[in-house]
Amino acid sequence: MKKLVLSIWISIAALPMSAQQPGEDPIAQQLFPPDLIMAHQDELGLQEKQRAAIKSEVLKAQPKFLEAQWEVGDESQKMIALLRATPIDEAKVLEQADRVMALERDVKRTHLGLLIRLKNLLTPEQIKRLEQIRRK
Amino acid sequence: MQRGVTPRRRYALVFAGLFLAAVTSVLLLVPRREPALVAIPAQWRGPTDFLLQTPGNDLLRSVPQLAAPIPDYAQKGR
Repeated sequence: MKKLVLSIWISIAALPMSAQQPGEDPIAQQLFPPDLIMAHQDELGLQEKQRAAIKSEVLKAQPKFLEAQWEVGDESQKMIALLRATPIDEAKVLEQADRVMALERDVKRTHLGLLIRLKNLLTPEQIKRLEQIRRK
Repeated sequence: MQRGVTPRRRYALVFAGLFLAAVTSVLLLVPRREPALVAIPAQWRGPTDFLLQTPGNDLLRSVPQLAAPIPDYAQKGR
């Protein structure tokens, strides 16, 4: 009898796990994009010092993104040209893909660093408020 | 001599029956997705893909729009 009850509870507990929705960004959920912080700065009660620091971080990162986007575009064009050939030179394409992906990695790394620094500039209360705002 | 069903055993059987009925109805009511024949990588989203959407990205893809058309003052002066 005890075994039966136990197995029922295990089955019931396992049901929500299968219902978990895919396609969510669990990493993104932990961070806040600068646009969201800027759009709600009054609601968050951002101090002048915080505003200046956030602005400075975003301004520092933006030229890096711009540069990387141009480079990604350039290297992607080269890859497209290689893929148009018949037959496709697999080794060359993969080598080019490595260049594109390395640039993408740099963009992601710079972006992640920016988002971490922005979150570190916020107080725990402001973080909680932003989480509430995002859930709306 | 045949032993009768004890009340404890009867409850266990009723409980198990109810549980089976509940599980069956949940399985029948919850809509199931058709399993994909092949795993399509295009539908897969990397956990750090959102990081490629950099701040100000949309500004690079658009041209600022003026709300109203600029009046042609040269025409009006004539």
